[in-house]
Amino acid sequence: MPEVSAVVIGAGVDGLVAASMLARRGVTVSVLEAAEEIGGAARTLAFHPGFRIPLAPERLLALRPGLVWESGIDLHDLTIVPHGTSVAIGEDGRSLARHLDDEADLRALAALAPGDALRMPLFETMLARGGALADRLGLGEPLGVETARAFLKRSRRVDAALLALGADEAHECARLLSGALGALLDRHFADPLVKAGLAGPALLGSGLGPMAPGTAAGLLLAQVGAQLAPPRTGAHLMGGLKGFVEALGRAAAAAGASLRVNATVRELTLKHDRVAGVVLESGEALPADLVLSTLPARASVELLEAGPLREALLGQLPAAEPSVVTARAAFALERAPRWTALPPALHRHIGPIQLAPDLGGLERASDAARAGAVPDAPWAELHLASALDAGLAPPGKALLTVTLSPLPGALSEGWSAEAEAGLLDHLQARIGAVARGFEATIEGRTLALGAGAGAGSFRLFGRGAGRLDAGGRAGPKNLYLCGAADHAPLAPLGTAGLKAAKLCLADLSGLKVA
Amino acid sequence: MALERSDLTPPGGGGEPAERPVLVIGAGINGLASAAYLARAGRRVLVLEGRNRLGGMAASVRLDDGPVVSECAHLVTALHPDVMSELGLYRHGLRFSHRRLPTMLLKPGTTLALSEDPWEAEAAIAEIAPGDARAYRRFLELVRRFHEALDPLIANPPARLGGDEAALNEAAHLLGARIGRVSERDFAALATMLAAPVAEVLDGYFASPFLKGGLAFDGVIGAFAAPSWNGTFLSFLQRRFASVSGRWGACGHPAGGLGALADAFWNAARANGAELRLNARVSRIAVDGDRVAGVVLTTGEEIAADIVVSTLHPHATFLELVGARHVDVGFAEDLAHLESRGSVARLTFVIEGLPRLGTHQDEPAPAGRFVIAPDLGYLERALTPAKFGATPAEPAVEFAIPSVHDASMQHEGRHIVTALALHAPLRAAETDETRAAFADAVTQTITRVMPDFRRRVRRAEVLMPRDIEERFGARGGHWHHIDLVPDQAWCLRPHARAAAYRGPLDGLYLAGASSHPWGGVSGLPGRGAAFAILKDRGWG
Ligand SMILES: Cc1cc2nc3c(=O)[nH]c(=O)nc-3n(C[C@H](O)[C@H](O)[C@H](O)COP(=O)(O)OP(=O)(O)OC[C@H]3O[C@@H](n4cnc5c(N)ncnc54)[C@H](O)[C@@H]3O)c2cc1C
Ligand SMILES: Cc1cc2nc3c(=O)[nH]c(=O)nc-3n(C[C@H](O)[C@H](O)[C@H](O)COP(=O)(O)OP(=O)(O)OC[C@H]3O[C@@H](n4cnc5c(N)ncnc54)[C@H](O)[C@@H]3O)c2cc1C
Repeated sequence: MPEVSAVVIGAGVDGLVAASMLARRGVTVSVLEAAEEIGGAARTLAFHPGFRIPLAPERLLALRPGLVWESGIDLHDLTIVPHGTSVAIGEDGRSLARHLDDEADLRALAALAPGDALRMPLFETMLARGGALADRLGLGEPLGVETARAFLKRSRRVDAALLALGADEAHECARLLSGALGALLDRHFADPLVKAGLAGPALLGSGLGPMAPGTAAGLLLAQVGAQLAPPRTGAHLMGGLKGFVEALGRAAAAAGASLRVNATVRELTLKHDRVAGVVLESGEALPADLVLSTLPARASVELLEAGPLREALLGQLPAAEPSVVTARAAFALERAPRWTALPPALHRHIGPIQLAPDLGGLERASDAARAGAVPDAPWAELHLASALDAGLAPPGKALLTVTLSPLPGALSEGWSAEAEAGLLDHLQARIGAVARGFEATIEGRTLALGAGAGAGSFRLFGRGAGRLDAGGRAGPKNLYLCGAADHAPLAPLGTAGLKAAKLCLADLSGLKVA
Repeated sequence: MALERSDLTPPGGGGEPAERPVLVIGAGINGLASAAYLARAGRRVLVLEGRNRLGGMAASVRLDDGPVVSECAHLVTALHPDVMSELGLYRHGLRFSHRRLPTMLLKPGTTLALSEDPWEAEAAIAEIAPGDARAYRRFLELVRRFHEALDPLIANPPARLGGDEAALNEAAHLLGARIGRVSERDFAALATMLAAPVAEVLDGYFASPFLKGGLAFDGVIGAFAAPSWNGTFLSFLQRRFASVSGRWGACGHPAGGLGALADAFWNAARANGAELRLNARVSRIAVDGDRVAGVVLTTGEEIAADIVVSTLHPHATFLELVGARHVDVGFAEDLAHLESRGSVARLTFVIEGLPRLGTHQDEPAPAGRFVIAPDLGYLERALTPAKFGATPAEPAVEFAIPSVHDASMQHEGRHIVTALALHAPLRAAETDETRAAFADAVTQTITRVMPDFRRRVRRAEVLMPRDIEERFGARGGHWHHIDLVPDQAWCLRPHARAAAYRGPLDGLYLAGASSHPWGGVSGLPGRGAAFAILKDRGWG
């Protein structure tokens, strides 16, 4: 391959994955990061004295083994600990513990809802089958539209997959891939808490309620990463995502990529409708044959040099603001809480614990958030993060992190201190209701809004083609989008970066992407 | 209308003597279309309709000592051109009082007329949103190309999954042949948009919230859906594929209302000897082993048959008429969970004189299809209460004043307004109060854009989804009988085991709105079922 230079904007998970892959194939890569450290959404921030809060959660939902080896991470760098138990507490105060151990899991289910316990193994088998099909069809890496044609041309593969399945299973997979989560759960289970416990995590990041088509596929996300984290309970990544980006950073550097922090990209210069290079905030200009941006499509276009191309693209890209966001709250605690609402064996449970609204509650929360209001009771997942990650709290103390979803996107533009305090008060009271004495142990609390969590539901050929010129748009041919924000929601962590790097490599070698 | 013929000799001289007639359950558009195609091919057909009139949801009815108006469906958006010409519907009496009604988007202070002439529409858009005028042309062009690419898939039977390798290969071949002709860029667009939310597609083309809301309306009407939901762009396309004037986007109104369209289908069937019995409600489909044996009417009368075509909801066909014990447990369970949530209410207003648009106070309202859906958020909010059984304070509304162009509907200076309102909840029961409250919300909504509307209203009638179910038998009062969503489309419509018009019982065919491709008055499900029968029996 001739000498090729690439600039990657942003040193988050996706930027680092892409950088590492390109560098490993001989491309000269510079990663430019605006913040003073790498990590992006996976960073941890200083919080109450002695405490740090991880921005993105530590529950590993889906990480493809393929991503790990393709980006050159040394697996020994990662410690992944499966959660033995994950708990859901319903609005009525009932709780359901799901266990990694099959027998314990069935026993817990049977105690709550005997009929549903009988159906669970079938349901899980169905999910595993759906996950396997999803993998076979390449859904874990969302199909870019530019490969869709090749995909359909290779329709023998799809034909064979469908024929092998037979009518019932094919229909079942179709329901999983494109149906509404609520309808799917309703046809399998009767108990609202059983459904709620499955629904919350599956909806996370979509911003939708369980009635919307395409939300059932959220159940498959965990399946796609099943080799590293058990779908039923998830796993904890030691060091959180921070540990993961650090491993990625080391892998990228080892492959020869240069990583620069405090380097904010101000502009992308153009030459004949191709990107010629980047200009930094400092005025420094760097030429580049390829540019990969981890910013959302619109933000990427806003960086383009002023001119007709930029105007035309801005006209075609929807307004930037996400309709809903996922937020993180954190409580600095004097000591670890006791989950008094749970059976004694779980009083010292370290997480995850869902405060799980039922299907109707999830629908209402999504409606409220999408209409710009803070929902009364958004889905919340609690982790005693410090129990697994000692660095997050001073010795003897505890950090409880909460993922809250969905909240209105308008909040990301800034909101009042009272509104924030109101939300935290409410959350605090919800937690206090399941952990007696909790409120008295709070030393500090905070709320950080995550980025727009790629709101939307899954589609076979979704957004996130990796290129700007998808869907009839014309964009610079050598500008690739590799951020999670524009990717299909079913994509596991790092997929956007992986996908964009593959596209680049295919374009460089003229080979088709598989 | 010939209801019964004692003379049972086969018509057209085609079949062998004493051939048993094909029984068609339901005289809606699809039952009639099916009958017309079968009769045209020389088969004996008997249509059994439970109500006292034909047309199903596309019927006309006389208002108490007033004019005859459409009873439920009120405008023809997509009647498939092949069906029109193959059955010779014009020859069989179809007349339109208007064939190219423009769509007029309304909000207080603004009227945007989208006529079927793209230049006119562009000029109109340029006045309110200059940047969107050219985008509109690009958008129309995209829809046209999509239509061209997809029409063969829509008008031909879908593949059948699970073992029928030949059919699947045939379908793959057809798909491949089409795809081979679509440009790389179009294919990319098609692939991303086919299951996309209509809002996402429109966002990619337009800036004007008003234009987006008005266009998105077609993606959610007839569906229990918000414009941000997957699949609503397909729903949009379905409304916009094929218009009676041959140009994209215009609606037609048959003289005499939608019942006149049903009459034309029936005339086409009758001309070839098909028979029809009204007030003949089927209570059971008789089964002999794994094949149909005939039907039993509510009167106890038994009619033997080798072939039965059902145009009913699959729940009604398989669980109520055939009976769960005659079908596979898994299939029965799937059908039991098949939810149909109708979400469109139908309103009829009798009004005194012609109202005026708020934006055009000096002239009476023109002919058109009026749409009130001023932005995407409005459509989102209209769905929220319906999820929990409540009505929206501001429904999205499509309405027409057919009496403007159809003189038969004018009566002593009074005009008729037919309206469809979204999203109406599917509740256990409706009362006069709940209906009146919803009619009031719709009246108020229309009055916002036609200030003199409310004071002209003399009478308002409402059919909520539950009322529609009770009156027409369509489960949940659903427009498409079952949702038109990706996992219930094409080879999965209404179910993988009952796709391509054939169910698990030999001799039982499906032809209603829940069969491929979708509901509405295209006539395609009826045609598809008839072709399936002719093919299976070698009667081609
Ligand atoms: C609340 C929340 C919960 C989540 N939960 C999970 C979960 O449970 N499991 C899971 O797998 N994933 C989860 N995610 C998603 C996951 O964290 C993200 O998908 C992933 O971290 C995104 O990585 P990225 O590289 O695409 O973008 P980012 O991490 O956002 O990286 C973008 C980078 O670009 C930099 N940058 C911005 N502008 C410029 C500029 N002009 N010049 C230079 N640099 C710039 C930023 O500083 C940032 O570092 C969650 C996300 C959030 C917000
Ligand atoms: C409120 C509303 C408004 C609509 N507006 C429009 C519109 O403006 N334009 C448009 O194109 N489409 C419209 N549609 C959709 C369209 O009306 C339907 O999709 C279409 O008419 C369905 O035709 P069909 O023949 O498949 O079924 P149906 O019309 O439902 O016909 C089924 C027939 O079977 C009969 N039947 C039921 N059970 C039995 C039994 N046991 N024995 C004998 N007979 C039985 C019924 O009486 C009925 O006549 C609308 C739908 C609704 C609900």
